[in-house]
Amino acid sequence: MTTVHHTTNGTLRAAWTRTAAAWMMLAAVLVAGAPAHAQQQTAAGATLNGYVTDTETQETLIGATVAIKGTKLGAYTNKSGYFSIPNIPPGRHTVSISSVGYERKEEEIEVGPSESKKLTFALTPKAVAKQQITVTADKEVEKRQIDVSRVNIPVEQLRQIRIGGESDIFRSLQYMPGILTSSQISSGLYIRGGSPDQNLVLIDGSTVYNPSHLLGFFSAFNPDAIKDVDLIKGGFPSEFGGRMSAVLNLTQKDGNRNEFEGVGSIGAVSSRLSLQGPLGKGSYFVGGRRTYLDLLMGLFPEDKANPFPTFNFYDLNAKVTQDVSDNDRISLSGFTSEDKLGLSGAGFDFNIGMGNRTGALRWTHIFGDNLFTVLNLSASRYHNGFSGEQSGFKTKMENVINDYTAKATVEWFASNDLTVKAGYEGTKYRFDYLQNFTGKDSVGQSGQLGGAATNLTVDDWMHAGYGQINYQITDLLSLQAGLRASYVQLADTVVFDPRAALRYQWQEDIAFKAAWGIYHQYLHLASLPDFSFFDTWLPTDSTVLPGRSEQYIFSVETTPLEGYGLNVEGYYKKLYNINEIDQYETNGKNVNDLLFSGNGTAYGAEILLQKKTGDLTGWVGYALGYINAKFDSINYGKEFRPKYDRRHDLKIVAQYKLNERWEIGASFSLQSGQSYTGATSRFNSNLPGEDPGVPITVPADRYALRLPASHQLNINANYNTTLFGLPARLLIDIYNVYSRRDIWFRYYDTTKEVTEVTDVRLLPILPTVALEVKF
Amino acid sequence: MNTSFINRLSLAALVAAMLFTATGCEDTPPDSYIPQYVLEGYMLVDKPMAGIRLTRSQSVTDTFKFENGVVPNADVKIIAGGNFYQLQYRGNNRSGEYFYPDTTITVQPNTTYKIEVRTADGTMLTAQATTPSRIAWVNAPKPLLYYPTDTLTLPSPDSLKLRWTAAPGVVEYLISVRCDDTLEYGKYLESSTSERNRRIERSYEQHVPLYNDVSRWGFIPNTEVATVWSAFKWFGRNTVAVYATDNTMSAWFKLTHFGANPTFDPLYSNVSGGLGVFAAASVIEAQSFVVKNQP
Repeated sequence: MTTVHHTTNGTLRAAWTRTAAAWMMLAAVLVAGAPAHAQQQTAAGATLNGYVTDTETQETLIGATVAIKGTKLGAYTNKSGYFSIPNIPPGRHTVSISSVGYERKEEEIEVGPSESKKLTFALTPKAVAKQQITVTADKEVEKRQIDVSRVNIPVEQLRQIRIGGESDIFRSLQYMPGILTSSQISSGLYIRGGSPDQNLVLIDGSTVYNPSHLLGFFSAFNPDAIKDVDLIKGGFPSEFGGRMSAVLNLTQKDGNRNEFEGVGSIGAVSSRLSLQGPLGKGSYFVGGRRTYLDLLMGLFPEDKANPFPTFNFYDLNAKVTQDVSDNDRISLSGFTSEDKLGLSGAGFDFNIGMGNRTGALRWTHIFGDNLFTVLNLSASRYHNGFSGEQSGFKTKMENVINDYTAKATVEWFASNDLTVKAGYEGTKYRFDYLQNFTGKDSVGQSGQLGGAATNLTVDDWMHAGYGQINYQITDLLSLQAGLRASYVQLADTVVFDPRAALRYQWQEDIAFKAAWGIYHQYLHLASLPDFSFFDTWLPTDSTVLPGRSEQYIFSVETTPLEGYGLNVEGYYKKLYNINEIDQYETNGKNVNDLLFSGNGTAYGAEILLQKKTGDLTGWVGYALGYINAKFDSINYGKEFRPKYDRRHDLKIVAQYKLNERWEIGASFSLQSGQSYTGATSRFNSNLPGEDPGVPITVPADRYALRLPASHQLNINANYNTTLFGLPARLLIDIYNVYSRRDIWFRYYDTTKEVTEVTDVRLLPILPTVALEVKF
Repeated sequence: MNTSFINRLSLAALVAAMLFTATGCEDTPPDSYIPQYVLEGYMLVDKPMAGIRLTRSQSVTDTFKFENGVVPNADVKIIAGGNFYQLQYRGNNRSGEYFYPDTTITVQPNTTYKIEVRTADGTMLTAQATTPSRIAWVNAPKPLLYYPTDTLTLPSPDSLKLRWTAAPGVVEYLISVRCDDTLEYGKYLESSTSERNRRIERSYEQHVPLYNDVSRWGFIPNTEVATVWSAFKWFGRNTVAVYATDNTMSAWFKLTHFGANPTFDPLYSNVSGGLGVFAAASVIEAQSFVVKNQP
């Protein structure tokens, strides 16, 4: 079932106009019925709305539960920490507020008929998240939350998973079932058969196009700066669009509104510093991170005959939040990251660079007591490129994507059973492609394409609108339905993405969930499979179709024991118009020249047993997955599995608080071996005058073989102490405890007469120590 | 310990063992191979029809020997402009080559050449290539190039820049630097000496797959390039050549020279019935003698 609408195709337009109309009518009926529905419930109901915050910092808490005891009324706080509970019967009530990692709180309130009460509830953090007694009201709130394929791991737990002393959000998420990697040294997220470019990565509403450092070893996000990590592995709702597979939505910290505080740490790879504190009627947060190997190497004399590459990366987060009025809050946030690799000596100079830069202005306004609006203006820039000079001959290549987005969202808490969300998103894209092989500094004329110089700028617009409802049909059955429509100017294409999800509370502690949806992707990524340095984002022009996925998900969620959550989920995903780069095309004139297009299928099942509270926390996850792809131009048109396909995937993460001083943890992964392409024969190729020439291997079926299984154990320990009277932590990590050096890739070494099957192996055991000080 | 706990523990251990077994399977590298014919030939404008190689691919589990892949008895024809050219085979220290004996017949520009190969076992290979227009030097390499004393920081002056005319329709050019005599040096000097040639060693090159090759190839999407000192592998007599290639040769170069341990991809091959490439180019060459300037 296609959802592409071309303005020149009247038949297609008619079919999809009908489909869109059907969805919109459904939405209209539900929305039109809402006021009547609300009126039927409680004619003189009051509304309680406001924020839930951390008592120490006044940071708003996302996903906290606010429930009216003795009733079925309640809500979760949204991304801004805001909640609204309408239709509360007049009188005295006990409000129960809870969030993982915080002490449960109860407060008495009294509301009159039609009264609108606005309150802020502050929760006290706990050193150890104790097992919560879940009240009935909490469970009623939970029934409305459909949350298919949502990864719900507190940020503090994610921070405990460290590699080489460095916490990394992406590397931590890779310990969830169904999330694969291209190798143990890559931070890219391959989620349910989708490649990293199919994931929408947002930070405070701004899109980040290449969230990685160090050739993909780490993500570009400093964990100290992140308040909330929201990963939806599939079946995401209509408010998100532009990607086919998953959504990773990060929220930066606002900063401590009560007092100034800072954290600094020195580690083996990088050092970090973050500062936060009150500012006017709000707060600020600034955090940064930088490697320093290049600074240390700079102390040694340079040896031009034997040059050593220099490398550094840094990232910087900043945010200022201000309460303009009781109903208005403004925040200005920014993020920048940069990686540089250079090699200089023996007559040449070579530099590679890549980086992200984002900025967002966000204004939230509360109309009345149940209408929450957000206006988000953001700009994002990603660039990568290299420059080289050999004997005065200069070459340069640079690719840039600029994204200017305005997003307006309206969230209407119509009743306890109905929430309506709608929004508009408009993005102006500017793609710059520069390629200079003239030997000189000049970049050639703008608009030039091909040959020694390319200097091309492509502008495009994308407009999207969506409508979405969350509706509790009965006490046991909830529905989330939405429709997103997008128009992209360059391709002159309108696409429709209908989405729906259901939750059925079968028994007290057992719920069934299902989701279906269509997801279009307008941007294509030309990327080398193992390194993210030369990623180039391309628009959908008239020569290619947008990518599209159709996803079906079914899950069972239960609480087998108090304090444990168990989720079993199955998925099926069809992928259309996925891309692989034509690595040897250096003279392409349009997108179709640079990419091969094909289709794919991914399906599998995941089991996650999770414990979020108590001295021992963590999870055990297992996934069974199958991925297949088919391209006319690859593997002789035969179906093949991608390199990152892993049939079995087992992950175990545990963190244990021994006492006030010591915390220990471990993470273990066991996966089927990565796929690789075997070779059956070889021959020699000689360009004119070449002797002996180049050995060439003849491959067997693409990625048809598997390397040995991959498994690794990492352990970490935190020692809480003081340094010069300041709270400090000693972070001790051992990466790859039993030094199993998994194979990164296998190749056929044909430099000698006897072909050697050669494995390049990954890192051995790596113990590291880092020190973190709070002030 | 109670029985229920032991049972649960046993079950967990069994499941773990099954998982380890299931995930522990490694596929053995394929060892069955089917020999395939590999054709490689380049029609170079103003050169005789020669250097066309026909070989068989060899199993990766065998020791690679050039002589094991030789195919000396195929029927090889080139067809151009209605003329048929029957090629003959001659051996050399590698795979041998097919050539047209009459060397006065040279490859012409803007001409389509078709090759037909029929092997003894009846396999038919065909391919086709069209030569571009001729190119010419605008600035040829100097006959004598004094390799700089300080090899570590040197711009190349404009006077040493290579320039050539463009061929219509050709966007990308290939350049090769080939040492003609890796052993002798002094005998080519005006006043002969017995000095031997030597390699220009660079630490970062020592483990690249083409280290032992006498030539170095590069790719230029332009009609001029500086004299890049690191292009020379040896002192002494070198031939610098610029090729205006057809798309097939350009693609084949990228497949075989971009990255280490290249793998065949049929997308970059134009041979029907087998593997390899049959491509065309115009070429200009000039000799330079790279003078040692360091002991």
